[in-house]
Amino acid sequence: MNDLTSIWQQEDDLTPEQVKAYLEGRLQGDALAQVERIIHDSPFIADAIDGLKSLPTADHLDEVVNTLNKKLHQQLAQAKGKRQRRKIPSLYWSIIAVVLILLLCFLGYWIVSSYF
Amino acid sequence: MDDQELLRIYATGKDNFYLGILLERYTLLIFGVSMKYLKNEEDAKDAVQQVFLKVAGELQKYQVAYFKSWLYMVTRNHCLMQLRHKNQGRHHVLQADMPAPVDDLALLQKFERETLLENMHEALQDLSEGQRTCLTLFYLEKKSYQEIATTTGLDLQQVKSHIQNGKRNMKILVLKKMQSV
Repeated sequence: MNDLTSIWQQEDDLTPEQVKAYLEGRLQGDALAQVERIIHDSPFIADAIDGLKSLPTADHLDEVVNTLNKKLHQQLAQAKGKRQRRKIPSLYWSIIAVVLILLLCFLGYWIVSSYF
Repeated sequence: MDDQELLRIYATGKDNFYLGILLERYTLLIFGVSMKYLKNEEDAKDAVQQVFLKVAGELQKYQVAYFKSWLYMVTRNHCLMQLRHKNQGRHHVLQADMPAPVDDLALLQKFERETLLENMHEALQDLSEGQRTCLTLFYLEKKSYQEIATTTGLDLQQVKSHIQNGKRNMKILVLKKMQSV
């Protein structure tokens, strides 16, 4: 018999294949019982399964997930590009400020050494 | 590499590559939760992308201790906000459906294992017969809902309800026992 504390232990997450097999009613015996325990113990997974059950078919789930993942990477690449573009102007202004300060120092030194 | 490790690497270098790997693991779940609340495939797909953006923004500012629970909260809140915009005045009905947060793991870690096990065995005996049988078959004998229903003669909904209520009652009983020590 298994340990009673398993009632409060979280099992591993479901793989997308397990989710699809569960939604299509292809699981039986131990495999089905394991998936049901995971769903029962995780409100996140339970909500997701509820939502996925409302789809007319699970056939195109892979396609939906792949498309969303592609868009995710595009979003993250754009965000990275924006951050880099934001860094360039700040660097540009820092260089101008340093050059101006050096020029002022040089000018000050030149005036002091020329007239006094 | 687990979620916390990916999160730690991302927090250190802010390299979106690692954030991408982390979020990809949850695309299906976020889409599923969005479908549950929004009931429309295109809206759910939009919600997934908006949740991704929100997560990327929030992780720039804050440290997150339990990523999965936090992501669930962000997803659910986003969907509820969408619904509120659509159905002003109906949000109180939706809030009633929200599941309570789970802190079972924290409870488990708080006590010594032997003491906890002993108290759980006692608490199991204090449950109603239906709850005790369903919990035992589901968690200890690893049976599916259907197998439990066949064994006990209950219907599927009753089985799920006994497991849910049994688990909650057991937590209450164990906490009472622990506090009285």
